[in-house]
Amino acid sequence: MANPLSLPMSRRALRNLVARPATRRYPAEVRPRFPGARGQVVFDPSTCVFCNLCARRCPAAAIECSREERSFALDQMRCITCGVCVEVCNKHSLSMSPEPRPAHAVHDASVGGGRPRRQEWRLAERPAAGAGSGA
Amino acid sequence: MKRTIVPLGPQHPVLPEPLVLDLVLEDERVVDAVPTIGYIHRGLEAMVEKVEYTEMGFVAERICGICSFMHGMGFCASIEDIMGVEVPERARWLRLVWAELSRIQSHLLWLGLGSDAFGFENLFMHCWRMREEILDIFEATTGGRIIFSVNRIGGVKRDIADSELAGIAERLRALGERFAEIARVFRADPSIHHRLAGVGVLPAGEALAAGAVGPMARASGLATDTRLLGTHGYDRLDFEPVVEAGGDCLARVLVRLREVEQSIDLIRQLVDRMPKGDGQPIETRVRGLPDGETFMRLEQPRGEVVYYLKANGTKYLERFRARTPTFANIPAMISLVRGHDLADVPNIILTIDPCISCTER
Amino acid sequence: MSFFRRSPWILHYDGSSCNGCDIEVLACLTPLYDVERFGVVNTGNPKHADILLVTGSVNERNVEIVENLYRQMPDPKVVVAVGACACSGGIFARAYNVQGGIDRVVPVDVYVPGCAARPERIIDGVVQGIAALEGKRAAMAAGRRRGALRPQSGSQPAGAA
Repeated sequence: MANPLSLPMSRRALRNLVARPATRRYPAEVRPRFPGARGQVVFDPSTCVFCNLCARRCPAAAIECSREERSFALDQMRCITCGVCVEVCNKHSLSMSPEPRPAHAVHDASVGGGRPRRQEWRLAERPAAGAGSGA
Repeated sequence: MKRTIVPLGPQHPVLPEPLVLDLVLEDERVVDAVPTIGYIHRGLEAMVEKVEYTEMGFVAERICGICSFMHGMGFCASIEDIMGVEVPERARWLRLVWAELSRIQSHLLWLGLGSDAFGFENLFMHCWRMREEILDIFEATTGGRIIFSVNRIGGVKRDIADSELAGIAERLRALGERFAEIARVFRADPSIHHRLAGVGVLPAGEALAAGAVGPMARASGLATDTRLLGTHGYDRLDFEPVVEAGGDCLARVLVRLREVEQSIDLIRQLVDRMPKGDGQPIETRVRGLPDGETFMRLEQPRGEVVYYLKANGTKYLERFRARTPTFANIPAMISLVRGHDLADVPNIILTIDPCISCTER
Repeated sequence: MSFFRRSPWILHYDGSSCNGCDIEVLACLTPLYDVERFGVVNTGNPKHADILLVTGSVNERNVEIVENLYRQMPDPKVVVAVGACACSGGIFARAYNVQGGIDRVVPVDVYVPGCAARPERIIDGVVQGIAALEGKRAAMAAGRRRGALRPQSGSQPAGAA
């Protein structure tokens, strides 16, 4: 029989026995995000002028923006976090957060329904900062 | 002898992707294989009608999630070629760093999948553990693990600071040491040799006739490597194409092993030779609309990719085509499968490193 | 995570995804994330599976494959849509061969957004899927008990389960 210590994997295996586990115990310990990570797009309704630039440039057509109705909607299920909208926004209403979007459970699952579609903001007049978010 | 047809895929434990082959068997021996495509076709190339050329790079990136950087780079380089945009020096070097990093990432991924296919799960885990370190570098420098969205027409979006580049080179050096240990297993383990040596032999002449590209052709002794053309800035690096003479599954594994080592060395060269200094320009402002057509060649982890772009002076391109490496390798793969046992088929298919989402787009 | 009563087995199908989410699903199996800690096993057989994990959107061709896999799985079963393409079609929603998200053909219980979805979020999605699975299992058991008590009643209040 071959000497097990001369097998190519054995040294590595022995070292792994004494080393710390490589596994991140994910739900218990969350690793800090990289500062520049592209997690999700965050909208700040207080500065938006509804210029529609982001909606026109979005390659996934995930943004709907209307100047007449003063409304802005972002389909978080469709957004690909490419960051185009963040770059084109002149008013810096859109920003990129490193925290990825949470998984979303739907309790009344059925074909063609129940998808958490989008976040919508509808502003009748210019609000104070931080107001007017919806699901 | 009675012939039977065994369908392989689209949902198969060995392949994560929906590759569909109808295998014609005589007893256990494969006499023919008929590929069926369309399970993953999205109509990506036709999206140029709906997405403006400035954003089409993000769509092109999603041709494939493994070589996404190269697809984005190829698309942007094509538009730059049409519009005659001069890319800043720093951006060209940075693109090469990311391109070689994604080659390491892709080969580690494949070495893992391959070892899983020939029944060495332990090695799969080790390869993918090393791959995560490359993904960490990617996430720190581009913001994404898989899809980087860092290319743009006229340059790149993010700069990597010089100190960070030195750190990357250092991490890769350490990774290279650990990789050498794993590479020794691939080279020396008798069970791997039993499964792979002499299986699926593709002679050099046949590889040339079938139009094989990339590691597949290089494992058959053909020294083809698009990087040798010196485009995209590869002329500033010193390297030799990795060639193995065997032409069998083992040779294809060895080529990829040596290419990982080669790419680590190339990144070291890039970091050494790159003009130092933070705050250099990384993108040229692009104005106007493209008009004209171009071909662009690029060496991806899986082989040569060719892009064809035609612009008509509007913001929507007229035509965008990509000939991806797996598409070129499928005829060779079909000829390899013939004459082998059914049990060898997953190994042979995996050693060409098939990327079905590239092929069908 | 020891409070799960069973080990859910996952069937992974790659619809027309770009491989990105696909590879991230596989990355969950590797040492760094290691979903096998939760007893989750990736199986290739729909008859063994409790959770159908779909990456990528539905196109003309794979509609029947997704339906077929879902039909073959035994009850109770849960569908997790991973990635923007599986949730809504994502960037490819406007491509000519893409019909849309997985919820066009099978009921989806958990949506994991992102392009590509991160392994952490895929684990979250699977954990939420396990919770949904427990709910469905309890509902099925309750339905069976009630059926045994009143076999011929026929006038059960709808939706009581």
